[in-house]
Amino acid sequence: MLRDPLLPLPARISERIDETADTVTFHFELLDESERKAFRYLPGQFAEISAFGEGESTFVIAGDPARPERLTVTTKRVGAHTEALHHLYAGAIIGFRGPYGKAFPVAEWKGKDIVIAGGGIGLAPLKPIICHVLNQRAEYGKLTIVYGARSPGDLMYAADREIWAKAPSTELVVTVDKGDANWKGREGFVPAVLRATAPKAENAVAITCGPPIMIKLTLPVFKDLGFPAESIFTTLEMKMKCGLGQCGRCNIGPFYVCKDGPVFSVAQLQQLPQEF
Amino acid sequence: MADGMKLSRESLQAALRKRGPLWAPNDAGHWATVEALPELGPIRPRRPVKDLFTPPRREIALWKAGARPAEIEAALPDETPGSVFGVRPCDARALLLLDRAFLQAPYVDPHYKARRDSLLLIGVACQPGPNCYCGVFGFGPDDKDAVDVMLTPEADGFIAQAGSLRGQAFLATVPAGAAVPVTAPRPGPRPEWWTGLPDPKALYANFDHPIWRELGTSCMNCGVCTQYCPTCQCFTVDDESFKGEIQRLRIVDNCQRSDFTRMAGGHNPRQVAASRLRQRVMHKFSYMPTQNPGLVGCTGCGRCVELCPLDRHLFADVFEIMKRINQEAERVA
Repeated sequence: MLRDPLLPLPARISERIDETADTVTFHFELLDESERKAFRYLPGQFAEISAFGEGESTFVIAGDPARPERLTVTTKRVGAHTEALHHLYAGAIIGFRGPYGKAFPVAEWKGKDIVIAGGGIGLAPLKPIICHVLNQRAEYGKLTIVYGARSPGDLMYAADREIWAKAPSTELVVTVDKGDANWKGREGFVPAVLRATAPKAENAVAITCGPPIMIKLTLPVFKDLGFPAESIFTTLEMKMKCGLGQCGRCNIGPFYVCKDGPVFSVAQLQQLPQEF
Repeated sequence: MADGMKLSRESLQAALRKRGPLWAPNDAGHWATVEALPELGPIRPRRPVKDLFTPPRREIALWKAGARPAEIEAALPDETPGSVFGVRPCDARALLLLDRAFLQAPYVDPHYKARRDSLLLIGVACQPGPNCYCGVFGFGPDDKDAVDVMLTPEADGFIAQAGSLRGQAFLATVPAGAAVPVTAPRPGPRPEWWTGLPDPKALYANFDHPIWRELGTSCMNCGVCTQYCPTCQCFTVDDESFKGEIQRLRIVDNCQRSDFTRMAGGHNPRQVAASRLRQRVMHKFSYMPTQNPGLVGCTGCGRCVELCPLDRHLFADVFEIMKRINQEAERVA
């Protein structure tokens, strides 16, 4: 019989990492062995996660796509469902449906420099790209990562950033809007730091994700640096419920963000109505 | 012209009862199982027939009280063969649109599919009412394209015509009277002032036209139009807990609610009423025809016109929008 695509698969949390005061990363595994072994996803694809009794929400799969048995989501506490998730620890069972949506076209980017500009929890969808590039290091050119958060306490993925900082042919620039007494790093907003970092646009692609205002101010910087709209990518945030192109919520113009996105090039976004 | 065949009410009812449960509109206009073929009103019932296929509420899964979280009981699709009597062409045509949403690989809704596969659609020709507009969409009250069998009521029974191979096979099982010639399909009603469907591209090109705001100011976004619409597909997924038992539900939702698109954290791309009214019109008359050439997200059932508490008229709105857009285009040309 056909499986109901809305039916969640049970998964067990294997590790919980408290990233910031309101953000938690969960690593988890599908309980069913055959499902776990067959599971694959690509950078940028997302999933529906449930804390049973509180419904579902949409999160990007923020792991290493080369290790698909170890799934990862990073969640910020903003409502009843994420509040319920944040009460869960290693060993707890959650629900999982996915992967959904179009991925970043990483295969088409081979041979190019990769420039990543992320802000806050917006680093989550970018992390699988970074993992993928570092896994296949020889296939890609220089990797530049500009990552910013409001304060030192809002920076996430500390362990990953240590690895990225030492990776070959990789430049990691971390910035905060405002440092504290112990902060010895850079201060400044992501768009300004990106401009100062000045990655070259020739034979390169740019990917950005973060708060709407950051994306809005980052896109013109990429443009000024010489990136054409076809070479700048982002992943749209839009309310979703089903992930299947059925529930109607994420419809924008003739597209469903869950099915036709969430990854879009800026050239594609320019074709969409300016609704948000 | 294909022949129709005369059926007595009794022989039809017996053949349908043999198939399994018989669904029909009840006195409240809701779709319910019935024992005998009911007398139908002149037009479509209060609720669209989509309720049987994509119901307002359906269970996805259940966690029994005391069950471990991994013990998820999936709700099973209803595959019982049966029939639906009294389907009107507008509601049947709407199912063709819903098929595009719920039967498209890879994400086929097994509950929807089970009902589509197991329920025979028996259409009954109607006597169009004052808010019926199927003619706008090129079909009429005895259209048989989206039903298995179309019946035209007669004094002592029906004249039946097959609309599908499945319907043809069913009719072969019913003891029939004489074959009778069938007249040409009746044209559907449309507003006298109606000049034609809008061009989906022209509508889309006027996404930022001020008329959306003008129209939006007299809509209170109650969503009745979408709740009764035979083509509206939107739903939400949520859990309900009761005495330790958790139900995962797929519940009807609608784009006119202010928090339909409100994201966690508060950002809402459709904050104002006008943007939601625009979404409804655009989805039905621009996005759907763009994605599925030849299909419009409306079948002219007119329930939204009839039930709007502020007497808004969808067709008058669309006509007004296109009139303004065309006038301005002419002025520029």
